[in-house]
Amino acid sequence: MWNRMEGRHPLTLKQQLFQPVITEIFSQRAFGWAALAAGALHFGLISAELPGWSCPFHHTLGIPCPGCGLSRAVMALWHGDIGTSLNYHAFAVPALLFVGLLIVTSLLPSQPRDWLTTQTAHLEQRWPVMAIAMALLFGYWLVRLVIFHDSYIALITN
Amino acid sequence: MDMGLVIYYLVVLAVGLANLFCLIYVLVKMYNEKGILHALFGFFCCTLYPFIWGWLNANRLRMYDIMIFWSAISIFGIILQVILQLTGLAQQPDLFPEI
Repeated sequence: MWNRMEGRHPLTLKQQLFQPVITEIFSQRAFGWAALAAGALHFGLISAELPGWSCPFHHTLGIPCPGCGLSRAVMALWHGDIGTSLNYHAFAVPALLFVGLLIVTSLLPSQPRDWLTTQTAHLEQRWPVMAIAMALLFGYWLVRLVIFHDSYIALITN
Repeated sequence: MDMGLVIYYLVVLAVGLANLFCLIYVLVKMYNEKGILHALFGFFCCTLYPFIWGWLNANRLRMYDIMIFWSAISIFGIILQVILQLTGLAQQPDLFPEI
């Protein structure tokens, strides 16, 4: 991997676009367990109508980050309220899919887990999945922030 | 606005700034270690990914102090939110918008 501190050559743009982000997350069982524990705590707090993990960008700068509203959208989707979910964030379905895969990879025994990780690696080598997802998410956030500014801020803040 | 509320808001702002500083610090570390895509994912993930990544790599990257500080600030932030709800200050503009 690219490490400026060790003075290695930086990756080319193409190599950066094809970085295996999902594979790396799925391949670390410790990461999966930690993410699930943190996610369960966050959603548990929200479900109990207690405050969850706050967004430092929105909190400090007053501007929602691209992920703001996603946890509420996932919660709404989980309860079958598709309209509310879409209203909060259109990326709730891929986010829920990602969380589902993270749960599966964390629970699976080594052999099927390795197979799943290998498949993800093949996919990420062939397509810049994460780069496309990030670009779409950024575009979606920009449109909401510029065109639907007032309603977006009101929705996320309330 | 009374003095107590002003102090409360200042504490809330300080917690937010400290939280943001820790996030940016870990995102920069992540960018140096893993490249732009990981850092962007960390930014878009609203702190959860960089927070866990930071703890998993705290020993190797020598950032235990930052991670302990970030964890303490996060817990303190949640406690502040609970106080906010219990004291009825929740009627004020949202201080801790959820992700």
